Parts: sequence; structure tokens; C-alpha cells
Amino acid sequence: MTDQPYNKPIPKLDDPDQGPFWAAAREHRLTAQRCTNCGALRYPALQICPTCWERGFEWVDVSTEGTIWSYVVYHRAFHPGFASELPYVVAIVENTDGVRYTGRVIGRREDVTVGAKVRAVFADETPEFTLVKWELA
Amino acid sequence: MDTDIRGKIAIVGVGHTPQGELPGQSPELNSVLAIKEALADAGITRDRLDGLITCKSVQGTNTDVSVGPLLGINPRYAQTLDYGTCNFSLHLAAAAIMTGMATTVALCYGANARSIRFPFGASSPTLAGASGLMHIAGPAAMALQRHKAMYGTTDEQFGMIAVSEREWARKNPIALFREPMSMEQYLAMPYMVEPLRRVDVTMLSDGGVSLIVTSAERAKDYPNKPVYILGMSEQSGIRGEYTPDYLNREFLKGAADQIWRKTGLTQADIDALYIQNPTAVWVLQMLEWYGFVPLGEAGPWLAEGHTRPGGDLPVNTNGGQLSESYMWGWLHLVEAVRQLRGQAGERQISGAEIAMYCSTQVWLKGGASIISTHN
Repeated sequence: MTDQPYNKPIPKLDDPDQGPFWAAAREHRLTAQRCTNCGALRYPALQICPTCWERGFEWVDVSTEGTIWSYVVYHRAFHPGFASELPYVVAIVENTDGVRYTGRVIGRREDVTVGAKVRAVFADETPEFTLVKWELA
Repeated sequence: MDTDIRGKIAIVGVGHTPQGELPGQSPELNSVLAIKEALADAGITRDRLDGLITCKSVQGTNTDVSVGPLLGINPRYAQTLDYGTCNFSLHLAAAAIMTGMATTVALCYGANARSIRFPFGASSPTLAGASGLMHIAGPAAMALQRHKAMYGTTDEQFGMIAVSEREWARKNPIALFREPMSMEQYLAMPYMVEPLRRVDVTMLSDGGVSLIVTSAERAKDYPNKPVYILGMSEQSGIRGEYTPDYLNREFLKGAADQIWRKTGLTQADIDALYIQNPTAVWVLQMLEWYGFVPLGEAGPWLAEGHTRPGGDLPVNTNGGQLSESYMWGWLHLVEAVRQLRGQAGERQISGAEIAMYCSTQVWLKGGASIISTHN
């Protein structure tokens, strides 16, 4: 089997707001923004803290352990890049810091349940792009 | 300040184009063709209009200023809603009339998403999109899976939404999907985005829909029985995904509480219920948040058949967006008006006097209207 070029959607890795998340993922770190005033965590990135309305923030490493809030199984590809991976599982995961991430769940589909414990894994999809995925813990 | 809307505003005309594929017809043309039908139904000509509220098409066209040239008049009041779903448009029209900004308003929606092959399922370049969470079916299926896990809802219970709508659609000449579909056939269908099947999700359509709305005083002079607004409410959830559990759409309870409190009506007063449904999940959720069944109990209740023809709470008697057509919920309100006027043909609910329409803009906003021929 020859290597196929990566043909799924790639986020704008140098996006001024979201870019730091992808840069950290490249280093196999899961991150969120933390408000330097009230400490609230947020993801995806926002330019102001929605809790206290202060603008200061830092990107911090967060827990890579989490729980599946819910999940779905795609049996149809709405983007041609996913056609060869059907059926595939996508979940919303809440990590132990209370931040939620949407991501692929890898491993046995039959074992995926609402409430299942998962941990983040980092898939280096291209030389520039690493996608955060989840595997059953 | 008197903010009671009851009996002060009426729908006096409804109209729409054929549904399905209308190749070469722009959203704006479909809007104007629908307005023409609605004006004919109302028995007036366009010179009586002094207001226009358009709802953007799925691709962002069909604004007031793009419909205007085809409309051929300059109404006093013109506005566009990004996502009208008819409730929001109707509420804006009521506000415009109540404040004297306009007296007689045409509301319209126009779409050509089917014939232009609009890429409805396309993903945004986010973590979710890169992970393959695409199409409205994705988040909706996520909410359904959660509902199943929390409350034990089964495929057969949930499938009653699509089966019931198909039963209604078979009686509706404009519905696009009219072939029979039994529960056995439903359950035998493959998943599309599990736990959703293809028939649990709407299909893009071309078309236009319009309503003519005016004050109750003026409505008396129109040929059709006026259909009055008894109450209306809205509640936003515009924080979106920054609200935990946002896919459960709990904010809809805010719209529900308001409308029951303001009207003094209860769920038992509703003769026909309309729920805008790009996916059947929206029906499941709104039955619960609007209090027709307690939270978590919609599954068993649906399985009892209440929503089907002959049931005690007919839901989406037009076939809904699953079997009639995807007009962002606009045809639901057209159907509600026809039922209340007694013009629903084979699917007429005998003695229908009060109807309710609940709609949403995904997990960002919700609204409801209760309408009746009595004021």
C-alpha cells in the first residue's frame, strides 16, 4: 500500500486565535486557554474570558484523561477524505479539568459507550499537522 | 406597558411554490412566486404591502435588498433575518405591526439549495471538522446517543417520529416523500450517522414560502378566516458550545415557560403541534422541553402513537421536514394555518382550533407561537 496524501480538512494552523492549540498538539500536548484573571479554562479559543470579561489569558496544558459525553458513528462520508475510514467514531470528550473536545475515538467501536474513560493520543497526520484523538483508557 | 399580543395580529394569507427541484430558479424568484401565491390567498395585491421580512437562504442570499428588485415595490419596512425559521420572522412582523412600523407584512423564504447542489454537509476547519464531525446529522446524532444512554430511548421509539411523519405525508399532495414506510422498514434501514438513519434527517429542497401578516382589525376584511397569534416567545442559547451539554438544548425550556405563562394555555389545549425538524432529534427534544412529556420520556410516549394520524396529539401533519420538504420550518406554519381554517383535505384534524409551532436555529435560538382562529 502506497502512502496517500492527507486529504481530510486541516485547520488553519497559523490562525492567530486557535493556532497555539495546534502548535501544542504538534508537541503532543493538550491545551486550553486559561484566563489570567479568574482562572476559567476555555476551548475553542476566545479573545475575551466569557466568565469575567478580562482579556488576559495563557495557553496551559490540561489533563489528557477524560470521559465520553456522547459519540456517533459515521457510516457515510460527507467529505471524500473520510470515505476509506468508514465507519468511524467521533465523540465529545470532557477531560478531568472540565474542558470539552470533539475528536475521533480509535480502537474497537463496540467498546465505545457514553461515560467511557478515554485518554488523548496525538496523531501526526502531516509534517505540520497533529490531530488530537482519543483512545479507550 | 401592555405587552399582551393575544388576538392582535393575524395571518391572513399563505402561499408556496412547488417543492423539490426547481432548476434555474433563484431563492429570490422562489420568494416572489410564493409571495404572489400568498397575496392571492389573502385576496389582496402587492400595493397593499408596506412591509417585507425575508429569511436568508441556506447559502446566505435572499436578503430584502436582493428580493426587492423582483418584488417591484418599495415597502415602508424591510428587514432580513439570518435564520427566520418562520417563528422568528413572524415575531418580528408582529413587533413591526404593533409598533406602527408597518400594517401589512409579507414574510418569505426562498431556496435553491437542491438544484445548485449546495454542499450542506461541508465541515468548518475546526477541531470538530478535522475530526470528521460533519453535517447537522452529526451533532443531532450526538444528542440522540446521549438521550439513549440517559433514558434508555430505543431506535423503535425514536423511529416513530419518521414513521409518523411519513404517514401524514402520504395524505399531503405537496410532500416529496409519500411512499409507505413501516416501522419494520425503518428499522431495516442502515445508519447514516449512527444512531440516525437517512430518513431521520431532512433532504435539501428548492422552493419558496410566504405568509401575509396584518393587524386583527384589518384581518376582518380578508376573505379567509384570520388565524390570530395567541402568544409567542423566544429564548436564545447563543453561547453555543460554551454552554455545557448545549446539544441537549435545555434553553428551549425558557421559551416553553414563557409561552405557557403568557397565554395561560396548557399542553392539553393544543390540537395540532408543529415542530421544525431538520432532524427527528429536534422533535424528541421539543416534545420534552415544551412539556408535552416529562424529560426523558418522549421515547415510550412516541411509541404509543400519539403523534400519528388518529392520535391525540397530531404532530407535523404536513409530513414535517422529514417527509414533506426542507423549507426551514416555514411550511409547518402554512400547514398549521390550513388546519385551523379547515383546508387540510385528507389530513384535516376535526375541530382543530389551536395550533402551536416550535422552531429553533440549531442549538443557538428557539421560539414558539400559538395560533388560533379564535382570538
